[in-house]
Amino acid sequence: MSENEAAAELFLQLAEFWRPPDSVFWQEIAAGSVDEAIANLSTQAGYGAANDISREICRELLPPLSALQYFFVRCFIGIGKQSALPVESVYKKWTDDPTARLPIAGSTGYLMGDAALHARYLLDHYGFTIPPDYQMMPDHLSLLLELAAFLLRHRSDEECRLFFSQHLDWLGHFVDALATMDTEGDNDWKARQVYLWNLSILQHSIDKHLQRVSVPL
Amino acid sequence: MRNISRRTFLQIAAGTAAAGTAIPKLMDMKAFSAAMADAPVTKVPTYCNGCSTGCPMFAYVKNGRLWKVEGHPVAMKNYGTLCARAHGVATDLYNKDRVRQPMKRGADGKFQPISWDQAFQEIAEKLTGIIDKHTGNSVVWMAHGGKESYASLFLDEIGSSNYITHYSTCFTSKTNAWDKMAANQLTIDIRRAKYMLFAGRNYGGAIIPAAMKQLTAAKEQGRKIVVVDPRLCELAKIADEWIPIRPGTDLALFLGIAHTLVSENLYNKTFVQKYVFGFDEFWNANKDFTAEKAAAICDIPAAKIREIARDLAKNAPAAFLDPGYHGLHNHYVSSTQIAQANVIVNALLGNFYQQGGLMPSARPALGSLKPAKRLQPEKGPRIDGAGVPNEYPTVEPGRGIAQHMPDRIAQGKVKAIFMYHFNPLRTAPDPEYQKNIAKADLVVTIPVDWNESSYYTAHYILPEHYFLERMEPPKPVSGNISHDFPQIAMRMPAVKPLHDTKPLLEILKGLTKAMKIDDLYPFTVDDEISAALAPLGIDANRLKSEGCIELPTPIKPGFPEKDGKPACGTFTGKIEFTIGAFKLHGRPGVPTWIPPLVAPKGDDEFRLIHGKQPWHSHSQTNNTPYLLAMTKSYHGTWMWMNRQRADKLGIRNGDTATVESRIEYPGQPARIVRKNMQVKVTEMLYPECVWIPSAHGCFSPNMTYGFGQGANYNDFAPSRVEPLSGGCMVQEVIVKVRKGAS
Repeated sequence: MSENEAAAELFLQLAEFWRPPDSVFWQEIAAGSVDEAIANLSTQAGYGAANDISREICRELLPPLSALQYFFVRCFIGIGKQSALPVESVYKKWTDDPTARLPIAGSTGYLMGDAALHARYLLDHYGFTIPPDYQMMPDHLSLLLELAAFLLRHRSDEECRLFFSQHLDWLGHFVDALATMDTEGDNDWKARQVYLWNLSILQHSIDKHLQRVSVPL
Repeated sequence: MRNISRRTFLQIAAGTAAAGTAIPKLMDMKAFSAAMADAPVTKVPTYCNGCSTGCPMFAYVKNGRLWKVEGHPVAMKNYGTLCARAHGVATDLYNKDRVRQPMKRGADGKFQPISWDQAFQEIAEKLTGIIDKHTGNSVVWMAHGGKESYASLFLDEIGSSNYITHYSTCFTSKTNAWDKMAANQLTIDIRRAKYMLFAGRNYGGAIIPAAMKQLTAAKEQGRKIVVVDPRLCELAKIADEWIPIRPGTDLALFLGIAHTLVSENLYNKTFVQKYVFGFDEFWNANKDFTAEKAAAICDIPAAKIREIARDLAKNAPAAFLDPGYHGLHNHYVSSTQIAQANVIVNALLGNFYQQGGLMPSARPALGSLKPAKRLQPEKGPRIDGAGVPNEYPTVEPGRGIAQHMPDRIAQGKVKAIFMYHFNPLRTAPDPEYQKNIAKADLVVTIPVDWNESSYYTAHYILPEHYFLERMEPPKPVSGNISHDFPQIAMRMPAVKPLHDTKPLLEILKGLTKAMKIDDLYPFTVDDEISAALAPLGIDANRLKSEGCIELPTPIKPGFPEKDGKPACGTFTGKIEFTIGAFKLHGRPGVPTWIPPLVAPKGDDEFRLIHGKQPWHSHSQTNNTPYLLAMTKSYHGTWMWMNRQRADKLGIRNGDTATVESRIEYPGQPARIVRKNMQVKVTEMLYPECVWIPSAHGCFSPNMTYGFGQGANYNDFAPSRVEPLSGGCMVQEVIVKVRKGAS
């Protein structure tokens, strides 16, 4: 498996976390399969492991499936004050269009920003059909990670570099939003740590990949 | 490495080869943004949903997204200008706090997303069971979003009498009195008036853009504007005169004005003789209620009351006392009599159906679909008691009583509640009491956002498309202010729906189909549009393109007559100073002075009053970030207090104070409500009251921007029903205030 092939597999594996948790995936985490796969893929991709990322934290922290599902619905579908949507537009200026006259034009916190339009443009260009539930959230993290995997597997380093640097550059803000949320008890806290763990691997992998594909000055 | 599962969401579209395509021309986000900026802009007509005014407007769309909104230049409500609220609610299209798919509350009390099919099936099953066991009359539909025709078909089919509007929490006394006394809700002709008296009406707060344009023009032209209000409200700031009044005593002022008009022989005798019924009964009951007597109650000097009356008479019929709205027509024990006295003052001026006075709304005669007759169950009496003998016989059944649903649930009369864009937990008195709505067997809300009623009481939430995503049939553009020509407007979808939501018609089609009700809605919105426009001869495509159209036949002044006799629509055809229905049920037919229910006594006691802010529509907009930014700039959650009273309590501007009220219901222990509020110390408020804006106090945790900001007047008031009109009397509340947080 080439480095890019492994990286693509890694991103697909990490994308799995951003879909509603089901029992199959939960059992795989509980069995350690996911931890193992991510660690191996990260190594094969040449990203190594970040010093501060425990290899088995995901399995160790995994709360019961119901708690994971509750956390996902509350935080990532947004049913709760303590929520953090995994959607790029929410963390970016809504539009750079200098002619836009909506009062939110320069604000963050809204859906369907420029990032969403560009993500949709890219998905359309590459011939992907966006699932119905994500038509108006084409910049949802799960779709962005799938697209990243596609680019790694089939497209040029330059396309990867642009996509990684321009569409996966908001994860720090997302981490901040997630990390500052109140949690509702021990299992809720554990669920949050699982997602923060995912994000820390993601950020590490993105940084490493950008170092690899960036043109030296 | 073990194989692990993976769910792939992205699928390659048929006939494309993802891996082999060229590098996207606009792969770089910056290049993409630059190209987007040059994209064409389309203009889609709609009308605003920011308040009940419903200003026609255009949504400009670029790259499939909203780009700006702009008032419709033809529309008599705004003349092309929108208020801040309109710009704010437009942006809520993209607010992350919208309900984005159907929700179900689980046994653990937490919400889970579900499919529409599951929602329809489960609600249908539960509702059918309730109807079978308790009859359709145990089902209630509460609405602040209109579309009564859709709801009525549903209620008629299941045998329910219970369509309930928000009026009993807003201005029900006005519609009740005016319909009974004048058979019409007349509108003020600002453009031709020479003298305008506003009491309990703030067009600068509850903005109608065209009204403010007309009023500023009137001001520039030297026509007189007088505002009576306990607070220096936004309209008072542009008025020639602000007259502070003791809150709760407007009835005394109106009766004092009427007394002056009659006793000084200033009233229009010709008009009264020809077009008024019950003058003698009114005068006999009030001939001792002099300006002096009024002055002692309302704290406006008798000379000023006489001056107002004389100025009104001098300029009549091009003069009016504004018929009012939310401010006075729901919140006092005397609200019905206030509305009655308003009709009487205007009629004494002879300004009914007169230019410069009060004119009827110019409304187009729209057509409608004629649904086929169906075999329907017999309905029982209204569950809220509106129009029901021995309950609230004089309350308008067409409006209903919204605030006491928890009682009706506790009595076992209500089993299922639908709330369509209605949020009684925040807009009706005493949210803790309103939370008992959750005790109904089935609660279904149809909102766009996570309002309090949905969050705390709904078993199912069925989110509707946002107004910018909906196509809706034509409606008249009329009301509040006079315009000579009828207008119609319609709503076209500006953008594709962002989320898994539906328009109400589709929701009801889905629900009734699941209930196995055959073809209850055999039409589309386009069918409704065609039916509505048929009598007008207007092509649907023209209206869809232009959005708002003015019809050529103007409304003409002159009291309605038939065969030479008055025919305004009342039983006598005249303006009726006495209401027969009230007398029939043992109440006086004419208004006489009624003192407020409560009065502040100690140094720490105040009457609590409230009002609209120019950038909010009560609680409807309290989760709109753009509007909340204005709230922050203007200290918009602060409670106003008179400086002298504040000094006595040691409260300085910006201090936090504890505001406390006592809520008590018969047979139950009293409950003390305490809220911390920052205080705006000002000379611009009558000393006996404190004033708070109506917008805030959001307590739905899912409304992430507005949650926890400020307090709301409804927090402090018990749920009560004013017996004549069904109002909730929330300004009959005394609060105690002390410095410091509780």
